Amino acid sequence: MEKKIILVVDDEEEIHELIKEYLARLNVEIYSAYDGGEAIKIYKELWEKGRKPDLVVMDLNLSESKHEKRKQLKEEQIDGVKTTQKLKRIDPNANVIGFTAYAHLEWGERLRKIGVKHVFGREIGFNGFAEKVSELLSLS
Amino acid sequence: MVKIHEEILDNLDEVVHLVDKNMKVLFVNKAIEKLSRGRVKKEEMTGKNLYEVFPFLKERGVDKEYESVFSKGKSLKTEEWTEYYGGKIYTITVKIPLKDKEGKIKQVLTIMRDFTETKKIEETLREVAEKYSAIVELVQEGICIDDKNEKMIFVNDAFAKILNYEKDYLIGKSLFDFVDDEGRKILIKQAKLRRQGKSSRYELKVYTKNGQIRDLLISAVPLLKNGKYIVSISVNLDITERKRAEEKIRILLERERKIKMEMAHYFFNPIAIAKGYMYLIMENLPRNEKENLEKAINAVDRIENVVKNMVTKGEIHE
Repeated sequence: MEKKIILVVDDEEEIHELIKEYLARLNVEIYSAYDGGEAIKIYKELWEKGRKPDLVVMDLNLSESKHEKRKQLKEEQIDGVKTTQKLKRIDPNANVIGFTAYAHLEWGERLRKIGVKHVFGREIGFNGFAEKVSELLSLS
Repeated sequence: MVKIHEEILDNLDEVVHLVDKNMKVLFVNKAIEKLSRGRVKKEEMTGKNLYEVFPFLKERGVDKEYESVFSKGKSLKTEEWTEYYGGKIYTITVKIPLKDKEGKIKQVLTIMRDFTETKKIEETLREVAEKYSAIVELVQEGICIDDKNEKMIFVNDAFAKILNYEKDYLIGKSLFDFVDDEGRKILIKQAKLRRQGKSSRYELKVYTKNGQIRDLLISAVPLLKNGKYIVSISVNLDITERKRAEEKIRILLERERKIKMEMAHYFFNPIAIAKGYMYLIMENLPRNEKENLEKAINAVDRIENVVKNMVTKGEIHE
């Protein structure tokens, strides 16, 4: 079975590392974006190559990225809601889920309002998150 | 005067008359008969001296006004009332100098509009307001009656108190005198509505005598007679304190929202990362060390619960 493609959008390096560790047992290929601009760029590139992401894991606060890639890109700093809106304009069928510290706050609600059905809080842990991803991609 | 012009002028509601330097009436239209309540006929007035027909005009200083128009060559607009055969007649008069080919002023054209009816309604309203002043003054809301030119013809104590002026000072003034450009735009829009016979409720910032800004919630209704706009009556509620309280609440809520956001960001992320790595480490640990790490994870879980309750419920407990 072909590997499912996941694009993780988060400004924290450790979150990317842990998601990769915990999803390693699933049949997935993971791409990392550290801010909204980079996420849109990678999504478009993958789609053009016929490898559109099956799932986009979106954080909300993307302002604190210290990753070198972000500095190089110098993209406009946009949050998870705006990034999702832009992605949906490019691809209305983009499959976005939220994984964020703000799931229970107004910001998380805004993500739901623009059509993101699943917004998970960080408290579900990475094991819990891996289970949700597995369910959503029908990998279990 | 050409016949057709005379017919047109005779059909106007306004009195139009023409006098020469000797104040001889060269022409007057039929409206003079209505203005004089039928006591002066057009034909009788034509050819006579104006002051001979209306002797009281001299007492009122109208002769000086005509002298000024003849000598200065500038139009003059006045608003006046006249005791005429026992009744008060209110008029707005414009005197226009007419020059001959050589530029000399030989005649003055006068146009008079009778606005007695409007004035009477205004006066009746003011009298009614004054008659019921005990009630009007009892209410805490500012009550104001504006004429069709947005001039205040009646205000109660509460209204004067809002603006911190004496009631007498406010009579003849307009709300336009107590607002900034933004307020002026609102008032222009509202005046338009009133002229269309529409009531409305709106907010307005006004400047008081000592330069303070007060927020008013104004409910205004127009009064019409035969479809014509006469006055507007407004109830003005000073909502300054309410607005300030609302603003304080808004600031506090915004502060609370920010604190919650920051707490979520600074606690949930590091906690999730810490637990994530702890579980990874646990996989390769011997049983006794695994138990110790589980206890550490439990402790972090407790912190996470406290933070979640603080962020979602504003309560501090596990």
